[in-house]
Amino acid sequence: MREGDDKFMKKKTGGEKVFDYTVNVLLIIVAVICIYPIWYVLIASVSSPTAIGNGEVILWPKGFNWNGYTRLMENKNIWRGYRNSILYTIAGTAVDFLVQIPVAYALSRKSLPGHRVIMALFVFTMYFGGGIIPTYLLINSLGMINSPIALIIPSCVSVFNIIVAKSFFEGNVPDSLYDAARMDGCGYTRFFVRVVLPLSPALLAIIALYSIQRHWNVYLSAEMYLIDSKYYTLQQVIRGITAQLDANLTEGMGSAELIQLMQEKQLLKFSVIVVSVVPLVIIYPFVQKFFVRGVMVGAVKG
Amino acid sequence: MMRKKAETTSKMQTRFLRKEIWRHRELYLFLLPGLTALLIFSYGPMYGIVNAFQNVKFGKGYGMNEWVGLYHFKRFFNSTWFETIIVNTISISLLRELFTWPIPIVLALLLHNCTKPGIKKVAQMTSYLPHLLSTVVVVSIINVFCAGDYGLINIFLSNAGLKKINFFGEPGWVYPIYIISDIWKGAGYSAVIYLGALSSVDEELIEASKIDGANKFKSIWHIQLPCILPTVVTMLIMSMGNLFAMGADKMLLLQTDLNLSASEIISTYVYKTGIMQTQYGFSAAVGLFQNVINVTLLLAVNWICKKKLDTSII
Repeated sequence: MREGDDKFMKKKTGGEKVFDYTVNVLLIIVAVICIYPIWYVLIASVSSPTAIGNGEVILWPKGFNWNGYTRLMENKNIWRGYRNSILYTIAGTAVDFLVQIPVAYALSRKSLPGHRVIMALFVFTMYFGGGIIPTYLLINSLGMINSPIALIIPSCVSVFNIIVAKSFFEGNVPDSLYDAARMDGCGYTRFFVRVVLPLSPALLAIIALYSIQRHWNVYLSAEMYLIDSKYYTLQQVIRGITAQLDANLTEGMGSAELIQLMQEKQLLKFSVIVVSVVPLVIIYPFVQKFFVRGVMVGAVKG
Repeated sequence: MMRKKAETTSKMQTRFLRKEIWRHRELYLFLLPGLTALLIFSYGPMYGIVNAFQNVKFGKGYGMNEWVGLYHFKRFFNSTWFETIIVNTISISLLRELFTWPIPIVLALLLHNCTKPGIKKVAQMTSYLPHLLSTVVVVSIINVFCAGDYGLINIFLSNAGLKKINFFGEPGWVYPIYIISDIWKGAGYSAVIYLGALSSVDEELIEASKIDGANKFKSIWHIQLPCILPTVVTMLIMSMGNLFAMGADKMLLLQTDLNLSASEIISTYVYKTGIMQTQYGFSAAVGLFQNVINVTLLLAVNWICKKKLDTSII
């Protein structure tokens, strides 16, 4: 088959060559467009502010230094935000798992009386909701304002995740498997822990990635529910740094000192973006193929 | 006789159902945490819609305030912002839809027809990298490129002796920035769906068309595109249904006092009047208004699909 393909490719016409060439060039352009903004932030984070200001930093760092990162190390807010985000992400992902995976498994069993109605209850909330103000008032009357719990518990029912997990279980855990286990006196709970979960590493990876990404990146809810700056997430801290800069920039600058201060802040802005993206980029290659599969399942069933 | 038989079958059915429910008791326990959370945090706020018809004051129970009927709605419809907000919301939604939907399709076709596995892999990996970034980080990167004095674009413009562009000061720039960054962030991710549809295209059809003398361009146009058309239609419909459900976060982050006339949309208005100015009843009403429009649109789109295309999205 392979050989045949190759033979066929050798007989490419001129038109086909042009076509292939164009496709390749366009894809390279796409890759460059996608990666360049991230690359630029990365090289700017280790370049000298003057070089950036003069437009000399384009492809490689210029005036290489770690000042952005040393300043970042000294900044307590950033580390506190980092720690908070890690804690919220771990707790949130754990809660998501405990809630979503069992629900999805139960709803994937066609023999469960009422599974359709219960599923409809879940899916309905994808299309209609109370809106952010009634949600805010509810969280408030539950006493969760200014508490990280507001970021962990209320969002634990992700219907999208449940749909992805449910269709995975439908496709990969046949009922006959349970029937066999039941013969040996195995209940649903034990079956779920001993058989279903070990069968589903791909699914667990997908759900973990979605949950981690969601909790790590959440911004508006954090702004709404967290008042005390000691609870702030990394995203809030980043916003604080970048927004503050913009406000200062528009005020107009006088002395050279001020300009230098701005440039240093500019540097901090690059390095803070880099460190916030690092965790996701590290886990990304490991889960990438699961990620694609998750998108497919979600798209087909969603 | 017949009746008795029917009765016994229905009795047997009930008994069977009871037995089935008992047999699945552990699975109902599986559902318990999720259902509880769903009822409290998803259906709770739906009850909270009554806030839109009340004069909300803190200290009273949830939804236990004094009723004011349609007062908040009237105030919203008569407010000076009403027209601007509606026009902005509609224009940004439609423009975004118009520009965002074809690009993932083109990208998927490019990836599918790429003969160099190396290039394909690199393009694929880099194209969904931006999807991992948070809205805050995306907007921060936008700032890096578009900021007034230190933005890369303006550095280049001034080096080239051209006039700097005030990206965040001119209302006209909000939509292009919003849409282009949306495409940058989401195109690779959305392309995955079309790639999946393309992988199911029958290779034999393509081979046959080659023998008939069709070039690659023709095979894309006549075979690949028609094959993914159902997916394209479904995706389009799904996004049409969500057209006005645009979230507040990105727009809030891009908003400045200077571009407010273009960047104020329903959801940002709800956030600001509600969370920041604590006009809870009023903002709940505005939010409900958006919600109702959105659901109506969704149902309408779904109804049309059922009639014309025999598919349903709900």
